[in-house]
Amino acid sequence: MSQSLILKSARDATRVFSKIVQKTLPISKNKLPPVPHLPHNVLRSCGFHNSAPNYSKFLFTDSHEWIKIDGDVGTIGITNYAQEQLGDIVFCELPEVATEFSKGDIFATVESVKAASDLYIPISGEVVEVNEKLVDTPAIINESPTEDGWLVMVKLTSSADDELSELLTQTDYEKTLN
Amino acid sequence: MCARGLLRNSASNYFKSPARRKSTKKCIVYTTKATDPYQNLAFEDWMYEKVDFSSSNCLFIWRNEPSVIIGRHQNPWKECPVTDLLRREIHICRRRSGGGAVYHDLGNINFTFFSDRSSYDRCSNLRVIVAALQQLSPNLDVAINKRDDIILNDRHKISGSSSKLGRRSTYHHCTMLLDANKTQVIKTLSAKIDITCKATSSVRSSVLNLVDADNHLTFDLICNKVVDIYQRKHASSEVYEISTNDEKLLPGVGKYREELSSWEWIFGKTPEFSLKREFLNEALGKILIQLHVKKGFIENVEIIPGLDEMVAITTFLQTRMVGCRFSSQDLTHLLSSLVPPLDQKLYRSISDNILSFLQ
Repeated sequence: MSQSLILKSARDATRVFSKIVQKTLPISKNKLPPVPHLPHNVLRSCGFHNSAPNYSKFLFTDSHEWIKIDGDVGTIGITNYAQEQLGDIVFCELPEVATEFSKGDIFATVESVKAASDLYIPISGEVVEVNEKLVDTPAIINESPTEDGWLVMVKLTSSADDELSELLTQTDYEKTLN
Repeated sequence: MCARGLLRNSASNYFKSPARRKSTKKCIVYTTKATDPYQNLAFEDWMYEKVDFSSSNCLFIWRNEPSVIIGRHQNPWKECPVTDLLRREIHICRRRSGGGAVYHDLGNINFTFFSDRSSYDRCSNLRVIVAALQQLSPNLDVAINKRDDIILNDRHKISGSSSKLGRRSTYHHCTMLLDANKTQVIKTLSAKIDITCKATSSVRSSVLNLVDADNHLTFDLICNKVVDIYQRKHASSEVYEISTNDEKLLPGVGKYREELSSWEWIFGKTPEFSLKREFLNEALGKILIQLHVKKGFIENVEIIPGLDEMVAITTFLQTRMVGCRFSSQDLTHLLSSLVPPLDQKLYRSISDNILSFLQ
């Protein structure tokens, strides 16, 4: 490497690392940059149209995943805001059925415009079904992020109630987008 | 993302903007003498997972010995002549970022820009590089296209980009062809195998080395200028040379390297695919062999047409080949060790054709 770069010793580098290696992760830092032309209709910006199901059943993460609970099964996907940010999704890598995840684990990866984006599971549980249609047609996520473009279904665990209470309601999620 | 269409390299675009839009963050620049691609990719992953970029951005400058680096969701057999590369000891690596396959050697410079999610901006990173090139060689006609490639003279790609995005951290890395072996670029990125799959495809581009346009450009000159412009964009900066396999500095980085260099990651992570091959048999006419490969292992073998002679061979091969790794070594070993209680000549011609999938 060039002489003119200021080279420091490995010990100095260790010091810098120990300073920047994260101990805690402030959640407020997780926001995506705002969309320059966010639709005025707030409902639309989250992927809900007039014909959409009951909004109150949806809960959100600040990393733009949604979960809808039906009995002891949660259906999970990404929000319309997320798909708009990502652009055309060309590949969707889903977990195997029966994989167990803890809340916050990376459960899927989607690829768009040469970027591989990790997706984080909003709740702990075992995968009981994955949306196989996305393997052949990942663009369904762009077309219908909160309905046909769902990613996985998980069977909830006994800690589900506590975990769900930590998620964002639709109103709170929309506030994070501003 | 970059604006649509070509952004011309006018002074207003490239000279001024990097310096003008100064970040309040500090930056840390890492360089390394390590040229092991798995080790350098492991360093990127370590940084992505372990480091908080909320108060500092990082730039990592690195080079690899001859390797083909495929994107996260690609099929190595579709992108490159796998058996040939392994024989010639050219590494095959699967990176964690998206996008297509690229060839690296010491004539190619890699830049990785780490940032938190809110500062992720590929175009701004590329402008640092373009500004450096413009300052070093004012007559160079370079521009960023809508795929975030840097192109020379309107049509030749000299740099390709891809990225990895998490909820907190991101990295954007890009290549820069300075003086790479162009024959190898073409040879190592051409596979002749007929594969049906859903894996991410590469976009073919005509490539050129920067030295072809200006033979005064060197690795040191470019790196220093890029570092200089990158530093000026930040409130303060530090530059370090590091060993990307330093376990004391980067605890656990060895595990990342181990995973990235494993067969299970490089080949086993390939999205499901099928291959077919047709050949002519003197006695039976056209024969079609189809293989289905899942997670790198053979999941199904079909031989068409299902004539009486064929059914026995198909069943024989199916029971033995299913579950075998789709690798030249494993398949050659398996097929040559089998003693089929069948028409030997027909069996050989079928097994030779199966092996030729991997040539």
